[in-house]
Amino acid sequence: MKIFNKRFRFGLRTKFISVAVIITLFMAGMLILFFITQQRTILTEELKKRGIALTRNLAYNCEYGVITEDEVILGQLIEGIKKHQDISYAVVFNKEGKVLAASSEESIFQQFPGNDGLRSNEEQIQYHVFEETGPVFDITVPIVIQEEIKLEDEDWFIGDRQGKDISTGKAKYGEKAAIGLARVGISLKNTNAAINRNRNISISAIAFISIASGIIFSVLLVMIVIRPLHKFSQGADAIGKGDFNYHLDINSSDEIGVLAESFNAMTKELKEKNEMLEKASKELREYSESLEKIVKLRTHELEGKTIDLENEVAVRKQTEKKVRTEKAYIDQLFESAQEAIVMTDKDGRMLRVNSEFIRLFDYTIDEVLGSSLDDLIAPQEYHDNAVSVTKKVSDGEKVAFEAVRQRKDGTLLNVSVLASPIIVDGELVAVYGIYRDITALKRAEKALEERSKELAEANIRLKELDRLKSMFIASMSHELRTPLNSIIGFTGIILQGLVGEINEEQRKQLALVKNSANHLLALINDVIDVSKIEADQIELVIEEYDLADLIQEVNDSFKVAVDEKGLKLSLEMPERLTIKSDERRTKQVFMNLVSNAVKFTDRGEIVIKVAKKDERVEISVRDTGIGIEKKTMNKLFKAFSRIYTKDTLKEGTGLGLYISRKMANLLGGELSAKSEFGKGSKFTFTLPLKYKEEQRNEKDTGS
Amino acid sequence: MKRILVVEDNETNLYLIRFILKKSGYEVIEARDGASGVETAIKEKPDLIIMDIQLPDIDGLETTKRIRGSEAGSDVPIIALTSYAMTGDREKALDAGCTGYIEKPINPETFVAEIEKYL
Repeated sequence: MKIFNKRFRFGLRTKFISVAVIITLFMAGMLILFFITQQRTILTEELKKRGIALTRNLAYNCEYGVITEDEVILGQLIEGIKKHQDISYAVVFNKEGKVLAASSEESIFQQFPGNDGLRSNEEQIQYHVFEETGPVFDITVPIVIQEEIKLEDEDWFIGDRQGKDISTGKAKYGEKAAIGLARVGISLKNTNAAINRNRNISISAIAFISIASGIIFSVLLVMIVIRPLHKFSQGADAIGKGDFNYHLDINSSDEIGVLAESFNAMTKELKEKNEMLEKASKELREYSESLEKIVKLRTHELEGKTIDLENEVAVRKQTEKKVRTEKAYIDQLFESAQEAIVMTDKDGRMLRVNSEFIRLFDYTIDEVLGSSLDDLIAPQEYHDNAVSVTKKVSDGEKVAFEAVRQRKDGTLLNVSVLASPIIVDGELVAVYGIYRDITALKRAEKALEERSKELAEANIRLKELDRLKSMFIASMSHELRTPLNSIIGFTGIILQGLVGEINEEQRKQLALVKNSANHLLALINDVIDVSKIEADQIELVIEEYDLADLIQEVNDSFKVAVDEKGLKLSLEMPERLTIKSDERRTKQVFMNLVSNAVKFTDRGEIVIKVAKKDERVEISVRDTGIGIEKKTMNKLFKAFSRIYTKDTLKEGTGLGLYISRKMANLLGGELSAKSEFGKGSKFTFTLPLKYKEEQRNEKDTGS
Repeated sequence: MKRILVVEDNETNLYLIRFILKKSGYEVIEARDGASGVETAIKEKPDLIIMDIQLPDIDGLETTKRIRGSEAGSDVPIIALTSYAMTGDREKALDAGCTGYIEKPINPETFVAEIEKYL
């Protein structure tokens, strides 16, 4: 600031003084130049006029001397003129150019001016600088006979006072030729010296005046401008340092004074502003402090929020990923679906289709998108229907139906369609249509229908056949057994002795008849059972009965046969065992097992065990008979498979175990066998304590 | 002497049953078809009826129903003679109103004992 002020102070003063001096110098210079030029012109003109006057005078005075060529007279005249100040030389020529008299011996002045002789009778004046003389006006005036001189102008002698070219003010010498020429050189040496002297004096004076005026101006400037400015500068410094009480003490009525008043007013205003500013600053500081507190608090809260936000961002990212994943699932599902899927807007214009749609209907994607679904794939006769479906779905209904649609090439397709609306926030945004090509299915269905019809017809025929078969069996049963009834009945009567006494031989033979008849009856019954099993016509009579009674009864019925073969028959069972099953079929199975045991056992024992196990009853019949070979074990329960032994061919149909197992299964039970060949067999028959309908393998027709 | 009505169309069987029952001391009344069976049952009011299922006109089941439908035959024991071959004969017999059944062929040794369970 200070440096600036100093620089400002000195700079301003220097500049002001420099400008003032330069202007003064310039103006003085100009004046000097003007005066010197003026003086030079005046002095030079005066010299010229004096020269001309002297030369004319010489020429006038030389008339006689030239005519007479009197060198003495002429020499005196030359001497006379030479005495005049500034005359450097004087020469007089005759009209041939011969020097008649000269002041100087130097040949340069004795040369006749002009090469052509004295042809012109005009006065001439020329400026020359000769080595011998320095600068001179070389003036030549013709010498003429005096009577013949006619003056055109009264003052031709003096010349033009206005300083015009002297050569224009010409003396007219008429037609008479000059008789000679007077030549005079008047030197400029003294004149120039005077001019130079004047110039030096002028320059000195002007230099002095300039310096003096510069100093005076400078002092005035300092007094009038610089000092107040310095005060301003101090004031500005003080204000800059914060001293707003500074008062600028300048009481002038000029611009500086006005400026000082403004400055003081400004200082006052600044002071007020500063006070306000300090007050505001204090308030601001207080506010800033409270703000800092709030910021700290908010920052703390924000940190918490940031953590929440980070968590939220993490959750959102996860959600976004989930959404993307789900979209990928759906896109994949959409694209890879084996059904043709189309998505339309609510007016039925297609927005999206999957590749199967393109494949099925054979359109390009460009043909499809934006087109009306119904216009594109619904054939004419199905169009109204398709439009009504579109309407329904647009109303928010889900519709499933079968229809006919067409490909681009016009071929028709049977399709099953599921059209469903996509509703977001209660507003229908799009419609999904899922098409499955069921053309092949329809064809198959039609074929199946035809086949079903054929089958139904065949079934009717089969049922008729079945009825005939049943009738046949019934008839066979009746017709075959009626004679057997008689045979068995009457042999029984005779054997009982109801008719009369018979001898032993008759009894033995009748017994054989009765046995054969019974065997035949058993055969017929087995055949009937097998046919019933195969026709699924076994009819069960389910009722509660005491199994123990049944077992005991069967056991007792074999006593005679067992005794005859010398076998031991033992029975282990609970005293009472009530079960709910088909008594007759249970008895049939059990009898078959005991009958087999007796049949195939020649020595040893038959053990019958009956035991309750959980919800089932287990009946086992073990013998010490011939046993069953392993290779035949798997044929044991097959129909018409008889067990052949090496030495014995036991009578039987080969249907007993087959029927027994089937019966056991029908009763919800099982029949299994274990055997060691040569040592005996064990058959185990299990059945539920309570027969349940669903335990049967097949349903009773009940006809 | 208890009287037993035998409804049976087969002469041989009828003869066999009649022989056995007479030997056991019963009076035997005979009918050879369903219609006469119903008529005889209502008229004679036997103590027991042996009913063959297969009859030439109306079958034994229908005959039994008719007898049961009459005032006289509402509670007389009726024993059906069933055929082994015919599916559902026994159940149908019981459903029709028979008291019991005896499966053919008749065993002379056990026949009377079975009859007497119902007398």
